[in-house]
Amino acid sequence: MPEKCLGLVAGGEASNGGWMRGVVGLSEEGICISKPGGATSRAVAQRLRHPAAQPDSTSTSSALYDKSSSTKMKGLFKSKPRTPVDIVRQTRDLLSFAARSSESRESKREEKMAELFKNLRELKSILYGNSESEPVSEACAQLTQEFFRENTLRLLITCLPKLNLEARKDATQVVANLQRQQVNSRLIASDYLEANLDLLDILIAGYENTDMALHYGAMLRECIRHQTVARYVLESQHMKKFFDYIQLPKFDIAADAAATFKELLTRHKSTVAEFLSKNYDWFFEEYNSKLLESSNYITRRQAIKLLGDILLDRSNAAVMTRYLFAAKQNKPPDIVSILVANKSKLLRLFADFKTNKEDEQFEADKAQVVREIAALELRDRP
Amino acid sequence: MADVQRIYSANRFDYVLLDEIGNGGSATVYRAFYLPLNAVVAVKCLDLDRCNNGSLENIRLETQTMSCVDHPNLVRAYSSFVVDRNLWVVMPFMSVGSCLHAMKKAHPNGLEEIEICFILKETLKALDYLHRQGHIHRDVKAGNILVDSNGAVKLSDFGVSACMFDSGDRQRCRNTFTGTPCWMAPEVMQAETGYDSKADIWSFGITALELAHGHPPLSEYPPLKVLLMTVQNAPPRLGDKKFSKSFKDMVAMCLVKDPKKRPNAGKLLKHSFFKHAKPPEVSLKKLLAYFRPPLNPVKVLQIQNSESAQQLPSKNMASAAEYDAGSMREYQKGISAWTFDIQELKAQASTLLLDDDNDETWESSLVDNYRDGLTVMGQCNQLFPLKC
Repeated sequence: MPEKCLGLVAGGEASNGGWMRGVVGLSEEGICISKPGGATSRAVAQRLRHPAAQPDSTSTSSALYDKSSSTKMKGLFKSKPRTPVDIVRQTRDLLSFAARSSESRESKREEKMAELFKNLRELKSILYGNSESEPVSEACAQLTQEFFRENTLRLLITCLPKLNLEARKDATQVVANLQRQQVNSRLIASDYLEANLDLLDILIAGYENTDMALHYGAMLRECIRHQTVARYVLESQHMKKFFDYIQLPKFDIAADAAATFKELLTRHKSTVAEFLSKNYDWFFEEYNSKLLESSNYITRRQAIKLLGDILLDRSNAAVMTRYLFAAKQNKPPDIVSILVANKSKLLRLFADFKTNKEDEQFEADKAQVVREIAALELRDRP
Repeated sequence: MADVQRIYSANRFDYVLLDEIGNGGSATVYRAFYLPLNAVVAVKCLDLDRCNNGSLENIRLETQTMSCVDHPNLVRAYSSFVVDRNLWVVMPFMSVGSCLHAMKKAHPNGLEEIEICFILKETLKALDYLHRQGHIHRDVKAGNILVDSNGAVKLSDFGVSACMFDSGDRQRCRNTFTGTPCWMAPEVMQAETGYDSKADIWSFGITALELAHGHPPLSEYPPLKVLLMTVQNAPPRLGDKKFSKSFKDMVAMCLVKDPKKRPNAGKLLKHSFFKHAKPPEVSLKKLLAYFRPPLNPVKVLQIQNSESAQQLPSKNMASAAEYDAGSMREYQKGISAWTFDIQELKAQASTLLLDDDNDETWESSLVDNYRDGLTVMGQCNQLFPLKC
């Protein structure tokens, strides 16, 4: 990319679309934008001042004149550089095209798909930067705003199976990054998803499709960073499916589902506590019978670890009390070992733990559980 | 990823493990036969009992990275599944083995320039692809560059690779101290400054020297000394008269201490040195000829698809494979494979600076830290007739 910027800077600083002044260059990875005085223009200036610092001048000059880069440069000087908003709009148009055009026949389909892949890579480059330049927050904000102004995310998710592997990966990284972009200190991705919760249904069902599972799974994990989205998934019928997804034969997909499941049950404390108390019976029945007693070694091991994390979380103390109380007749050895390993922590937690309302039954249960744990401790001693 | 992932099943009974071709730490690699396709593959069997919960997460990330790469110069995971307390990862079988192995067997003093040029160019294409995706490999070395009987070159072992774009954030840089000291860039050693994909370019330059000489620079020194010398001394150079000027120039471009002054992979690919790369049947002719006939008849261990054959083949195969694997482990132990606790090393460094002769302390910690280094070592490329 420096050789192309070199051309640009020599030709004069590019002014683009009015949204900012700076240096815009085409790198092999897409568009790169840097503020005046930013890392790229500094590096370029340095290169200009010290041509000797360029160790292999022959390769540079040949690269400058090789066909592909000279075409790129010509294109760049001819047309006005595209702003992030332009790129999002064009991506949206191309996605609409991909969505309605069936497998073939429509003329120029291949060209348009190639254009779409290129745009996705450019979006990724703007959001993440590349090896030569940092992302520019203003450009990211404009991109994000335009992206969620219309149904780009829906189109991208539904068209994902039509993209090639590299474009799918780019799209996944773009969607992941957009979840964290703030516009006027609001996470507008969250607002969009809240109004389009059915998209989550598509993402979750992705675990049933070997080709899409890892991409949709990664997007899903980013989307449930938003509390309302996580609540939707927790309360949906999809929650039950995770017990099967976690045990899928393909390890990479099963492990991805397990990572999402863990995220759902640990990230948003109050939502998780509410979910567990409302869905206690079926959830732990499934958890115990399907995961803790799974024939798959990794499933069992991860389930034990996650159960410990859930039960030992302060916000789930009421759930833990209930779990232990229910399990006291016939505690599986794995649960006992969690309890023994954490007994002092548990006893401390219980000592501090008070419910908001006076609840005699709860207090009685609590006292019982404390006795149980203390007894475990005694029994455990040689 | 669609195709290969659908082709290779997740059913352990579709795979017949043949002989052991590599072993390190918690994993063993077997040559294996995939029955539905009559194809030879490599299966890496990872002992999950020897992995803690933190490394399980890394194993997930590594496997996912390996199943989402689609590049002729990267080892891709065809399938992965759990068998008892092991994770099996199915990969292409690379019959010649690693470049490290090839050198040890056939060229202890290094390869020829024509061979190096081709191997490095293929490796660099893999790095260019990884870097564009935001990945840093972090363990580029001859031991992780695999070659098959057709001369295909693939970079392997994503065990310590990191994704710069993990979970949606561009991370400015990584500051985990990982890799193998002789190949490690100075900025990686000075962990607090952070590093990016340019660290791989340094390791790539060191790998070039390794291929040229049969070993990386400073390999005769203990790891802590390697650390100090890499940070303090001038970068190593390719000096030998037998190598071309453009080769020397390419190595020098990689081995610049300031990472910003190193070229990225895409740019380095345009270097004049790589313009001379010949196709594998020309450039690797001698090397491939050496590895073509079976070195020794390797005893093939067949596992019947029966319930009783749940466990892996026993280790006491009295074969050339075993012997080679053993000597390879010794070699690796000697120079290459450790991970460190940077704080511990810094503490050690301060004592070393006071007492420069105190070389025993690190040696014991070196053994403790002996990493799960794993090198796939192919033994022969002959297909054994199988009765299955």
